[in-house]
Amino acid sequence: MVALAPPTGDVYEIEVDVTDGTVDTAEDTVEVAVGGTVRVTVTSDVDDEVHVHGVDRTADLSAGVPATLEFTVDEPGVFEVETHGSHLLLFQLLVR
Amino acid sequence: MTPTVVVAHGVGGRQDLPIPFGLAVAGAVTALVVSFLVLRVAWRRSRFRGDRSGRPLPVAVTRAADSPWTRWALRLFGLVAGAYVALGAVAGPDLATNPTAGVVYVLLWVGMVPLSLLFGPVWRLVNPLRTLHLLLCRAVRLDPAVGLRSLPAGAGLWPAAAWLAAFTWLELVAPDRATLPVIRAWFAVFVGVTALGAVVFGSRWFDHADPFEAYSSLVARLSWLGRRHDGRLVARNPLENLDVTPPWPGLTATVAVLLGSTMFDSASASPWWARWVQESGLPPTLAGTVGLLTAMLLVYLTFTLAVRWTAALAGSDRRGLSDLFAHSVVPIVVGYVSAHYLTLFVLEGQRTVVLLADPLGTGANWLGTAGLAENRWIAGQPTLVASIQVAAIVVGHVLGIVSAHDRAVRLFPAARPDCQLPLLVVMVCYTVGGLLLLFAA
Repeated sequence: MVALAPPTGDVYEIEVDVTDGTVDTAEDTVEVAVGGTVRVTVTSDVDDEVHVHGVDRTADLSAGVPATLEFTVDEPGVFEVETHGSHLLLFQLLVR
Repeated sequence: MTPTVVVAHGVGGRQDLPIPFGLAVAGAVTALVVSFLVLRVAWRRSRFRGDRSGRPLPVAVTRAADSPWTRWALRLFGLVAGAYVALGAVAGPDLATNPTAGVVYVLLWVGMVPLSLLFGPVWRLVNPLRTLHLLLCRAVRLDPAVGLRSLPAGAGLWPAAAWLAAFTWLELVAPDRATLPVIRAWFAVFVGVTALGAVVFGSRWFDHADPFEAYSSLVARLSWLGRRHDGRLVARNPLENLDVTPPWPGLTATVAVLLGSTMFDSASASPWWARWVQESGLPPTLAGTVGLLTAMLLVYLTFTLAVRWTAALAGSDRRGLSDLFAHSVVPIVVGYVSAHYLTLFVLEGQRTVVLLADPLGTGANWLGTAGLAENRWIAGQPTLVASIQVAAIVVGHVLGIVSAHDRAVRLFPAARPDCQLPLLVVMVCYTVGGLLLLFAA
């Protein structure tokens, strides 16, 4: 369900683990305010690539090594965060 | 932005925010109240005069629209535009900057709706495949209307329904559907089968099987522009236009494919769908195919059952009545498609026009649109967008109810109005379902 991630400072922190093709994250949908900064940390058990739609940011994932993407969201809408190799939806970013 | 990123979904990385709950409820209540008002207080004898209605436009307008010059100019435009897009699709690089996916999924598919509402069934006038068939027939001195065989009488719109299902499968389910090899492969098969169909059955094949012509012609049934029985172009109430929709076999299937696929598009964008697919362990393409077909089948079955029930209440045991009512789903489809694709069309449409300047990725600016800035104003107006979405769905619903009511009192003049109840309930379900999907997805 929709949840407002508690901002640390002014940053929304989201952590995701991918193991055996299964996504483990606190929320399917993360709600953030327009203008907010989002920091996503992804740890995958295989090499992959993580992609944030809409803001078009990507980061390479090495197996077992956490990768961090930080960006600001400046437009309302719903944006998917997903892996490209395994085609998994990590979570949806709901920007209001 | 990394230039090698290929979009994994269709086009567009952005979806609209869910509509506010209050607005969804207000829309649903309005739809419900208006529906029962129509049933209780509306006319008891058919009002629509179909192709005899409308205010004639000046003779010069009809003459200009029907002149061979206009017809050939439109055909030429279709050929040139088709060749231009095909060039980018065949020779352009397979990158997110290639305009092909945007042209197919946004300009052609979504753009067909406003264009057909404004100008009528435009695709049959510009369809490059129809023109190529015509030119080839002229070259070998054959009548394009005559094929090797005549189309079976029961074919109706069934081939078009099948092709529409195939296209929405490409748009919503096919793996890597925004990439060139996938789009090329689909269109290679489509062009091949269409060519074969046109040779065997003549140019009627396009009327019965071309999904883009079928879509354009159906949406054009809600246009302000129509043609009277004597051929004169008229301005008319869209409901009158809708009333003269030919009730071909397969019309119900066609509208079910259109409504079901758009609803599936909403549902499959939701996190619960993605979660379900990931947890079910099914291959995503299989899950998507099953989901898409289920949505279409659900609309088809609920609608045919509702019509049968309505007919039974009216004391009629006529078969095949659902095609006589299916036109009333067209406004629901158009309302829902408008709500669902409005922002995508505005934002991705602009992006596609910019990308079209350089289809080969060589830095060219052939159309002069390369430097244009995209206007993203609408993306920052979620409240306005939500209001338009709900209004479109509710207006579509009301038009659908009114056209179904008029058809019911014409077909069953002696029956009590309550016989329409099953039909009305099913249409309310489509509308509330559409609102729910916009709220929850």
